[in-house]
Amino acid sequence: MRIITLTTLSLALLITACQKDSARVEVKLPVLPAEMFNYAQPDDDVMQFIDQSRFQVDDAKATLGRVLFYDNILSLNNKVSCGSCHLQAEGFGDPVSLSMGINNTELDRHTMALSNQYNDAFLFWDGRSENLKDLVLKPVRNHKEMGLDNMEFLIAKVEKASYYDDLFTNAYGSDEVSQEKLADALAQFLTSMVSYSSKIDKVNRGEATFTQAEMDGHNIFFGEGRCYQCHGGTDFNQRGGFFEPPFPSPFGWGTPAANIGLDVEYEDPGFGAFSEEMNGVFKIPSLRNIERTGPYMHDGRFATLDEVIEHYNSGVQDHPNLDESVKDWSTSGPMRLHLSEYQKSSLKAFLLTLTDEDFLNDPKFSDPFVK
Amino acid sequence: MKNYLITGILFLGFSLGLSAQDMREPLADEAVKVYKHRVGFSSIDILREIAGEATRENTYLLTYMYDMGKLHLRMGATPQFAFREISHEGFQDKQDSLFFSINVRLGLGFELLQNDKWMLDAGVDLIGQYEITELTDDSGFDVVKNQYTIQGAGLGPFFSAHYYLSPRVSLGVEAAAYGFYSEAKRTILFENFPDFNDELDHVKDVSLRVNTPSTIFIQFHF
Repeated sequence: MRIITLTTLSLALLITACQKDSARVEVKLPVLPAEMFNYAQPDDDVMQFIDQSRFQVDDAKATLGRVLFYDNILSLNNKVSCGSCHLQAEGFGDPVSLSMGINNTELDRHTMALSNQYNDAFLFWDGRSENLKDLVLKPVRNHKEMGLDNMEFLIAKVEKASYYDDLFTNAYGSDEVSQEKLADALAQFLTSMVSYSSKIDKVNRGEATFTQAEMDGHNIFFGEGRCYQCHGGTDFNQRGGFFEPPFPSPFGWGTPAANIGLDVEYEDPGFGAFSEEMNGVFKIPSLRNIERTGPYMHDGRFATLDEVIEHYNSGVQDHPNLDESVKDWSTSGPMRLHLSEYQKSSLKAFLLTLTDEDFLNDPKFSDPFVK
Repeated sequence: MKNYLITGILFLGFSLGLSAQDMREPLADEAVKVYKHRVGFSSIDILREIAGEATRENTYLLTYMYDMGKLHLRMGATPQFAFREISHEGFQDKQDSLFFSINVRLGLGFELLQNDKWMLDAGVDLIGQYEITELTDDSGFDVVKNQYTIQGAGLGPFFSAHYYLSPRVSLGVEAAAYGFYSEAKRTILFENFPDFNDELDHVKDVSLRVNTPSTIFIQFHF
């Protein structure tokens, strides 16, 4: 009798031990402040630079967007988040030439840095999105980046993660998850990521002064270096030094995209995928936090700012689609700046004034899943 | 790898030992003795492993032949297995990878020539392949399995030649050509979200597989 009882108990224990837990979820929870961060009203110093017509942020939605931005469950295998490639310390860029997506797949282009996206209507290296709500779910659905093309699956996963219940309720009045809300919350978080506390901003506000080298670099940037022709505007990514809305034609003069003579023949056509005449044309990226956002160019070919400066100084290659801004105006060939070593170093010193340490260390943009 | 090395050396030593014993004149009854069973090992595969070459032809690591007079029943198999688990200190997520494959054959051969040094035979093989590669990511939120499977079967003629080092040891080579049909599937499985399990790829393939006589089998008779 004792043997039968023991055997029965052992079998019961074995069967119980062998059963699979259903829907086991053990994840690190996001750590959020008791009182929401202020995303909607940045400091006055920053607000004075912001185009208010484009900057409309809700704290609760941006808070939800922050959690989504850093949540790995937005990828097919739960291993990659937006924040995996957009690292805050790197200006929300990635320090490798080509980031790795799900299944350790190398992506096709260098990760673009993020800041002041609210002010940009020309997104991705090939400008294929015009607004953040359109942009945010594209990497999620990309088969190499996050691989989660089935939006119903995405919604089911977010619904399963209990920490979203309150976040959705706070942001949208109910815990119901939808694709529209996911896109909106992520777009709100990206919109809130404004960077206007770099040294150049402080100089513009009269709170700081340039060193002599920085001032000389500034003069080269806006003078013989001709950098401003493409890297103008408040975010250093607009044509001519002024903010202009995109032209109706995506290939007009004001369009913030250019062929800068990186190659004689481009492996990656950039805009050329849409139009052969635009082969080798890529979006002009913002220079904010440029010190941290290397390596540089659409394929991350230049490891340092020195290499970038040298490219514009002496390395621009001829190409049928070469942008006017990097042509020698007398010969129509590639420009040669003939900058001295001092001029190059001072130009670099000026570029370093675009680093915004407040932005790069602001806890409201940080990963909530890391304690 | 170490095991292969040791096994290779043992086989070599064993073969040479048997061969050396066989230097004497065969006894009258031993010369005509026909052993029913032959177990063979692919020496080239072992040498490839020692040399660290990753390529492996469609040969069989382990073979067996049963002598039925003029007819031979033959079998072959190459099993492979690997498992690896990766966890990261301080992190919840872990990954493991599992690989298992088995290639088998079943054949019927007809003896073309048999003397004290040589045996030649030809016949027909039925072959089969099953292979599974499974990569599992356990993120804590879900367990995601990426599964890749190949299943296939084929049929074709073979020809083999055996040289007797001794009545108990021979070396063999063979050539074969198989018409082969296979199906490969790549699926992704979600433990917590089975409704979203998905078959990503399904490839059907018909091919001709030719095994050149590049592998030497060491065979032991008993």
